[in-house]
Amino acid sequence: MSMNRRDWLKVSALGSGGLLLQMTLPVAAEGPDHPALVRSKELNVYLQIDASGEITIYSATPEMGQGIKTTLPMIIAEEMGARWEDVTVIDAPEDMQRFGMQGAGGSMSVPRQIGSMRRMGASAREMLIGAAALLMEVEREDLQARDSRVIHKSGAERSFGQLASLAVQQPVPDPETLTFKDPDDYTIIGTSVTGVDNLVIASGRSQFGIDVELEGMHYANYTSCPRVGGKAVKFNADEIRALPGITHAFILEPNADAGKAQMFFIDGMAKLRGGVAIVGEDTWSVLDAKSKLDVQWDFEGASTDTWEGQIAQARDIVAAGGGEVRLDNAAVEPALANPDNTTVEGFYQFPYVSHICMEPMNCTADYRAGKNGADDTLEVWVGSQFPAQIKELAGNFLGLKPENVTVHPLRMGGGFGRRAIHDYATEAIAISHHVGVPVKMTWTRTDDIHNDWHRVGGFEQMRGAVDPAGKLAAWDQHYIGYKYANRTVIGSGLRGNEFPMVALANARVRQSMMDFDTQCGAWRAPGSNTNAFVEQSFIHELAHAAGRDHLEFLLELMGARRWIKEGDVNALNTGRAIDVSWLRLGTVRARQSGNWRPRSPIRLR
Amino acid sequence: MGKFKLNVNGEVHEVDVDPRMPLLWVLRDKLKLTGTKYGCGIAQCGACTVHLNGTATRSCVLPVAAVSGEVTTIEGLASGADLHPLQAAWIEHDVPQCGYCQAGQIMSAAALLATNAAPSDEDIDTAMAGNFCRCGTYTRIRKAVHSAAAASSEA
Repeated sequence: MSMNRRDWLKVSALGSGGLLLQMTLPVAAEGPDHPALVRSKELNVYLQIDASGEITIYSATPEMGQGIKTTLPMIIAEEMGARWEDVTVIDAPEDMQRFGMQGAGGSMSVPRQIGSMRRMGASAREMLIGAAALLMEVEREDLQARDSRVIHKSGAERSFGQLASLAVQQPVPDPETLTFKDPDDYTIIGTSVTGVDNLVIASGRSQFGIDVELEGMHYANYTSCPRVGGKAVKFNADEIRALPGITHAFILEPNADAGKAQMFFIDGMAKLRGGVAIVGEDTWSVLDAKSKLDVQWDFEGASTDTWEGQIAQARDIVAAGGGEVRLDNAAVEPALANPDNTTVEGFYQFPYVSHICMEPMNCTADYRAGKNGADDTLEVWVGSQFPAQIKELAGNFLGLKPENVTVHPLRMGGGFGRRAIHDYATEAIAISHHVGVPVKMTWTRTDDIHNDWHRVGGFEQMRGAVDPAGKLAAWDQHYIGYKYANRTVIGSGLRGNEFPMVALANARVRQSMMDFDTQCGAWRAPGSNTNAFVEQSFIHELAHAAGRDHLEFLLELMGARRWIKEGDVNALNTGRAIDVSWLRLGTVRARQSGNWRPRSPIRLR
Repeated sequence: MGKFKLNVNGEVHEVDVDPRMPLLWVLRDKLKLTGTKYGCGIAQCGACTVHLNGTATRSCVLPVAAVSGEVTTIEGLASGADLHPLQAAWIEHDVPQCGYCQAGQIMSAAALLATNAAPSDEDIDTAMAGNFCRCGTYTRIRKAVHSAAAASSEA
C-alpha cells in the first residue's frame, strides 16, 4: 500500500471553523518507502486552534507527577510560535490508533517524543504562515510566527485565531521540509511554567483514579492470598455478607492467563491472584468488613520465600563459588593473592523495596453483559502507566474484544513503575464482572504494600585489591540475583554495561540467578539503583584501603572522558559520569571544606 | 447506623451512616467531596487533612460521631472565586508533582498560617511534619508557605 507521506498529518475543519491537526499514521505507511516516517507511529498528540485564538493541545502520555502533561505541550507551543498563555491542555482518551504509543516509563517520554512534538508544532506554524500569506497577499518568506501571531516584516500581523479557518485549508508540509527554531530563540522551553493541572490540584478538584464516581457504583476491596500462588478455600461468608453496607462477598479463583502481555517486563504480572472480594455501599463499610474477614487459605504450591532464607542461600552460593562468567580476567586471582596488595572483601545485600505511591492502587470497572446477542463491553477508569494494557488483559481474562473495551486514563498519585502492572485493574474487572454493576476497587495501604511488585532484592559478593601504589589491582564481583522459572526479573542481574566493569582492565564478574516467587517489577531503574549502591560503596572501601581520596580514586577508575561505545547513547559516557561525580561529590566537599569549586562548568542544558 | 448533621464548608449535610465511619469516607463516598484523599487510614501520612473548627485534623481516624463543629475541606478553602493565598502560592511555585498529597499539605499549611502569620522554616517543618510527599516537594512547599505568608501580610 502506497501512501503519501503527507498523510502523517490529517487535517480537518472544526465546527467553529478552526484548524485541527491530528497527528496519526497508519502502521502501513511506515517502511523503507517513507524513511522520514520511521517512528511516526509514536506521534501521539493533536492540537487545535479555534477562532478565538485558544489553542488546545491533547496530552496523551500518562501523567504521574513527572510533568509530562505540561512538558510535551510546551514543546509544541514553542515550535509553532504560540504564547503559552493561549494554550489549554486536555487529557486524551486511550486510543493508540490515534495517538500512537501511550505509555510512560523508563524516563523516556520526552526523548521518545520530542521529535514528533517539534514536527507537530512546526507543521502548524507553516500552515498558519501559509494562511497569512494568502490573506495578507505577501510572500511567506517575509512572515514569522511569534506570540500566537503571524507577523509580516512590515509590522502587519494576524492572530492565530484569525488565521485558523484558512490555515486548515493549507497543504500539510512535507516533514522533510520542516525547519526548527534555534534554541537561542526559545521563549517557552527553558522557562519555568507552572503545571497545567496545578489549579485543579490546589483547589481539590483534580480527578485521580480513586476519585471516580459513577451512577450506581459500588465500592470494593480485594484480599488476595498472603502468599503468592495460594488461593482462598472458604471464609466466614455469612457473617461478612450480613454486615451493614455489604452487598457481596465471594471468592475469586486465581487466573494466570489474565496476566499474559506482549510487553516483556509486564508479562504474567497482571494475573489474578486467589482471594476474597468484598463489595458494599461505601469504602469504609467494605474495609470494616475486611477487618472481620476470616479466610482459610490453600498454600499448596504457594511461595515459601523468606528474606532470611534468601540470605542463607546467597551465602551458600558465595561459598561454593562458580556462577555464570560475564567478564573474565586471568590477572584477577593472582592480584588478590599477592601479599604486597591490600585486599578488601564485602558481602552486600540490597532489600526488596516497595513503591508506596501516595494514591493506593485502585481501579473502577463497569462490565456490561451484552443484551440480545450483543458483545459484552467493559469500561475502565484507571491510573496506569500503560493504559492500553488493560485491553490486553481484559481480552486474556474474559475474552473481550479490544473494540469493546474503553479505558479512561486518569492522573496518577504516583507511579514509579508500580502502575506499569495492572493486577489491581484485573481485580476490579473480575469483581464488576461477578456482581454486574460498576465497581470502584480500592486497596488499603496494607494491601498496597503486601501486593506490591517490589524493586528486586539481591546480593553481591565483592572482592578487590589495591597495589602498594594505591592503584586498583583487581575487581572481583559476584552478583546473586533472581529469576522466575522461565523469564528474567526486571532489575535483577547485571546487564554487562555497568560501570566500573566496562572501564576496568582487571575485572572479573560472575552472576548466579536463583528461582523465586516474590513479586518484583519496575521501580525507577531497578537494576541501576542497586548495582550503583554496591559498586560505588565498594569503590569507597577500596579507596579507603588504598589510603586515597575517594573522588580522586573514582575519577582514576573512570579514566579519560570517552564514550565506552561510540555513537550509542545508551553506552556509558564517562565524560558525563565524571561531570556528575564532580557535581555530587564535589558539592559535598564544598560543604565540608567551604572552598571547593567545580573544575569545569557543567552544562545541564 | 445513625443520622449525623455535618457542617462542611458552610453547608449543613445530614448523613445516615455507621457512627464509627471516619469523616474521610463520609466526605468522599457520601458527600462526594473527593478533594480530601485517602493515603494510609491510620493518621500517618496527612493526605486526609481537613480543618475541624480551624484545627488541622486527620479525617481518616476521626469517627463521624465525634465531629462537632465546622469542617473545612480543600474544596471550601477558597473564598468564592478568590483562591486562598496558599493555593495561589502553590500554583506560583509549581509545588505539585503527582499532586495527590497536596490537598492535605495545603490544609496543614493553612492551619499553621491561621495561628502563625510569619512562620520560620522550623515552624513550617514542625507543622508540616505529618504530611508526606512521595515525590519530595518539601522544599517548594516551604517556599510557597513563606510566599503565602508574605502575600497575606501585604494584603
